[in-house]
Parts: sequence; structure tokens; C-alpha cells
Amino acid sequence: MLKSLSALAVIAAILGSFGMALAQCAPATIGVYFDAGGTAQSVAPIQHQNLVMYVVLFAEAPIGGAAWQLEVTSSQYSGQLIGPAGPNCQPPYCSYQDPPFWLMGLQSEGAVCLGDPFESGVRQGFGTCMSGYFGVPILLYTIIIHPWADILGGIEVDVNVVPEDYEGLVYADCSAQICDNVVGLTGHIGTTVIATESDSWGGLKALYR
Amino acid sequence: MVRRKLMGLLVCGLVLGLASFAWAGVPDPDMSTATTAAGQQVSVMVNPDGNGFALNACMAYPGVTDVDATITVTVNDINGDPIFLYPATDMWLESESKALVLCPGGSNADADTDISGQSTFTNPLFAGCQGSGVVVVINSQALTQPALNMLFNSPDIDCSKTVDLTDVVLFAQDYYGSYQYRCDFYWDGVLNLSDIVLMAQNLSTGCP
Repeated sequence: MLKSLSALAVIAAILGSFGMALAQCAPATIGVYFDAGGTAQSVAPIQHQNLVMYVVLFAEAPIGGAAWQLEVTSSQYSGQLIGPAGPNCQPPYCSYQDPPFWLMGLQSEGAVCLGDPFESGVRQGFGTCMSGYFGVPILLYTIIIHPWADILGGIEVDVNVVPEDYEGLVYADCSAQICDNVVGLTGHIGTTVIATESDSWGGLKALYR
Repeated sequence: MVRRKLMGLLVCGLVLGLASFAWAGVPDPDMSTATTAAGQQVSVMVNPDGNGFALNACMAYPGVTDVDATITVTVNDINGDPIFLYPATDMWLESESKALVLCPGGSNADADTDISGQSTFTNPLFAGCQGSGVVVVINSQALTQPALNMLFNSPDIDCSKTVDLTDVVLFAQDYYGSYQYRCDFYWDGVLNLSDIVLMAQNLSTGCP
């Protein structure tokens, strides 16, 4: 009897600690979207028309900050894809050694932000606690790029959210606890349409509650 | 002759008795004591607006949260008798190095002393800067016992009693430099996202 009771106690302790861990660290995604609501994950660029990329976090948790980095890749282009206009640029014309997307603006949300999205990665903290409950998107960063080249010729670009060099891909809750169960989602720029959900990740989760 | 001597003794006794009576009820820094509930060194993040850690929920190394380091002070007079209802505003905390900068009334005791002459310090301090070793001060006199084993840091890194751009610059310098305890608010031995979050949450704050 005593043995079965102690076994029950052990199981309860394991379940309890597991539940506590889950409660403390809700799973999250950080993704690149082309709307602030976090629904459009791909976009077809138009030459000389600015594109706005939003880095958005979804987590059923209070959010105090996040650390992440962007990696831009294309199978059709080996040079730098997003960057400041080169010194030889005379807008709207540049040499084809220049990045096909000019970096026009970066704006961080939050009170303290260290690093940048493409080189060192971003580590940012919010001044006030943000609530990610009920699928509410938490906007982390806004990036404006300008497609100057005739990219409709077929460059397909992926903007991946990857672990930041120093911290990893993490978020922190409002008591500054770091949570590392974060999945990075990719945004796509190109004429190939990637099938995406019309609803946000958090919204989808809410459907299954 | 004998009567004169007896009279002298009586006067001496009276003087000593009066002196003892006069000091009764006055806190004595040798006879008063302070203890902390924590059995280890703890770190307390303080902030000028009082939005730091409470002393009953501070940190132990590495990254252990909610450690109770409540300070209990016992106020005794020169005879070792407890002083009842000694005012909270006349008991406060300072760091041993005197580096901690306090807002007015920023580290007072929770309440006046009880019938046992005891009071506690649990509330978050209204303070900035960094310091180590806690000294309890009663009636402007520090207790003579060794300082309590506590560390303090604050988003008010430059000790100006406000958390502003200067502090963010110092924080960023420390973040990319060698480890500095002064910015390790979430005391885990590294400067990371946790410290950025605590820095951000306290930005643009100051003494009330």
C-alpha cells in the first residue's frame, strides 16, 4: 500500500513539474509576415514599390522580450539580397552587384533593443508586459525594403527566422524567464505563391480549443 | 565621616541609576541585531520607483528566484531590553560600501517595532546604483554587527536616481563587454535577454 502510494506521489510530482514547465513556457513562433496581423507569409514584389516585413511573435503567454535573427536566402542569387543601396547607386538605378532589395528602414518595438536583424541578431525587451493570449500577434520589428531591380525575373527569396548568435531563438516572459521552445517561421518574397493559412497561428489554435 | 561616605555612595548610585534610566528606550547599536531569512548570499535588483525585487522574493546564484531574504531587526536599548513602537521611519537599510543611493525614505522598515522590539524589511527598496553588504541603521547609527550578505544592483546604473538613456548606454557597453555584476539583474552569471527585459521594464523611471 505504502509502495503504491509513493509511486503515485512520484508520478504526481513528475506530472506536476511537467505541467509547471509547460505553464511557465508556452510554445511560441516567431515569423516573418507581410502584414502586422501575422497572416500573410508570402508576397509578390513589385518593382520600386516598398515592401514592409513584420517580425511577429505568437505565444499564449505574457511577453517581456525576444531574441532572434533573420537569414535571407535564395537559390537564384548568391550575393547579398537585402542591404543598403551601394555607393554607385543612382536611384532608381544600381549595378547588379548591389542588393536587389534596398534596406529602407528598421523599427524595433520595445524599450531596449540591441543588435540588428541581419548581422548580429536582435535582443529586445518591452517596457510594458505584452499579452500574447488568445492569438494576439506581438509585433517585434518592422523592416521596410525596396525592390529596385527587375526581380520579377524570377528571384525567389526566403526570409528565415533563425536563432540569434548569442541567445538562440528565445523569448522571455514578463518575469524575465527565458523560454526556448520557439519555432522560427519563414516569410517568402517571390512570384511563387506559398500556400498559407488565412488566419493567424494563434487564431488557428483557438479553433481547436 | 561615615555618614558623609554613605551620602557620597548614595549620590553616585543615584547618578548611575539616572544615567541608566536615561538610556533606557534609546536604541543601542551594540545590543540591537539584524538577521536575514536567507542562508546564502542573495542579489536584489532595486529601482528608484520601487519596482525592483522585494526582499522576500530576491535571487540566489545562479538564477534561483523567489528567495526569501526578509531582514528582521530587533531593537534593544543599552540594557538589552526591547523597545516597543520604535518608528519605522527611523530604521533603514544602507549598503556597507554606501554605494546604494536611496530615494527619500526608500529603505525604511515595514512597520514600527512590536512588543518584542522587532520589525522587518521586506518591501522593495526605492533606490539605485550598486552595492554589497547590508547594514541596518537605527536612529542614524549603523548596527555594529557584520553586514548582511546581500548584493544590490539596479537599472539605474549611473546612480542618478533615474533610469534613462545614460543607463541604457552603460548597459549596452556592459552587455557587449566582459561580465559585470551591476547589469546582471537576473543573477545567473551572464548578461542575457532576462537582463534586457528587466532593463526595459524599468526604463524612464525615477524616485516617486
